[in-house]
Amino acid sequence: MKARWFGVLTTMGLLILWIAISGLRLTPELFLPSPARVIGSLWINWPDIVYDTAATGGRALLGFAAGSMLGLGLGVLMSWNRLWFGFLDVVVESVRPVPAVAAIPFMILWLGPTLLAQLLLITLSCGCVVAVDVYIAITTVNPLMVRAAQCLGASRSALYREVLLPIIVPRLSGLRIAAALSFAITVAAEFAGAQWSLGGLIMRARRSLDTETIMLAMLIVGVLARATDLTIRSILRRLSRWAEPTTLALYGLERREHLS
Amino acid sequence: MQLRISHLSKSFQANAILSDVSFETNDTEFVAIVGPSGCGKTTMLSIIAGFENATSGSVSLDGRLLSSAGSDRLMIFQDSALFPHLTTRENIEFGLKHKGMTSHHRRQLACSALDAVGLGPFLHYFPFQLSGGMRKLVEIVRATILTNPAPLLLCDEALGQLDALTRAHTQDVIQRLWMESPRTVLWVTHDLEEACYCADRIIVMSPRPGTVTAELTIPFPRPRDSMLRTSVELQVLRRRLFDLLDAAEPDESERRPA
Repeated sequence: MKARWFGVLTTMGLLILWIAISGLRLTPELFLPSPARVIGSLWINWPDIVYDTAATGGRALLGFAAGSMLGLGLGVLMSWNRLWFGFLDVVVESVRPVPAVAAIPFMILWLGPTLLAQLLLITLSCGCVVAVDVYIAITTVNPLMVRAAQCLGASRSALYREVLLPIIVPRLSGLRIAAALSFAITVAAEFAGAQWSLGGLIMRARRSLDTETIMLAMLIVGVLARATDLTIRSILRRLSRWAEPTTLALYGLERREHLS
Repeated sequence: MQLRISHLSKSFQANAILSDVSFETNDTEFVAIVGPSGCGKTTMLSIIAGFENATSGSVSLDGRLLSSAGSDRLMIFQDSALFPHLTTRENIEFGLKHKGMTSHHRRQLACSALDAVGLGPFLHYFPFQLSGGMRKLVEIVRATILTNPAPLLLCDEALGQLDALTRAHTQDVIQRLWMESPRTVLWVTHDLEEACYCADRIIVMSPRPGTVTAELTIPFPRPRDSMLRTSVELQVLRRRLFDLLDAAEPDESERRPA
């Protein structure tokens, strides 16, 4: 597909730009370390970095998974009836806009600089994003679907399980937003106490002005987040094979496999 | 199933939509309802289905008073209400599944029902891959496959979006399915020929606020075939129906802008 090659082209372009700027010594080495030095840092630190990457990736994915489940539950409850909506809307909508980073001091105060504190932070932030997304997606499903399911004898829980939840899958863009958010919050939470992690690595490198290691950690987070996003997209696409080809697909921007 | 509508009225704020509608249907009767646009036919079906509440009056089915939606009534809408994420066969099986039928049994039933209307090859298609006529047919099969007891079928302009040829074909399929497994049908339509061709009895409604102004019994024996469509007898009936609707229409001078 053409779109994929454009992606490769963009990556190559950015890489060349980076090499050019650092190679021509337009900026001091400290401000923009060259790709060679970043690779050099990986060469020296790789045993630590493998561990740090696994720790950060695990934290982010675990928090994202827990947050998605929480968000799914909250979104379903909010759409279930007005009572639940009344209870939860105010909580979700007030937690969501507050930057999770602002709550880090409290988390550490209550739970210490522990894995639990970090996971809780990621889970809550992702949960609120997914909750709003699920709630909006459910409440904007064509009402004929609900009526048809009622007429055909589906119970309330069957309506959700067999009709509403499968129908909203193609529209769950909130999952992708939450996944990206989980990496941002993971790194921020790691600054405040997880020594052996990519966030911790950045903090350690900062003390010695080791900018190539900082750059390396940033790149690794970017790659992890990108891989997560691609995985989510491919899962959503697989679960959406029934959906009508979108306008984007007509222009060849979104790949969709269809039966016929 | 015997449906009894008595003194049904509905208004939204000060707007009266239905006023004192009363009629009954016999068991396994095919009743068409015609009336000018905006006379409250859709509202009436929604109340019978239990999607909306009446302002006053009552609806009862076999003597039971109805208040909320239930699986003893089934509505077919003008727009497609097929589940987009289920294949043709899964859509057909949906109602059977929730009646507690085993997966093997319902699969057999669905496949033979689809074969009977020529949709056998489209078993594994998703709704978006079917034409409008096919989608309607699937929806009709999804409703008529339910028997023992067969739910009351409420159709709101069900064939309204089909072209004339597909519509005629679908009417014939509906007649066949109805004769194979008889059930009570309320068939709302704008198409007077369709009403005369399909129904045992036609109920004529007045402009808003809608009420029953006339009833017409259709004498044609079944099975009816397409020769009947162009027959003088049907056209005479259609003319009478048109006159009844026209008579109910207020004069141009009295009519308020729509």
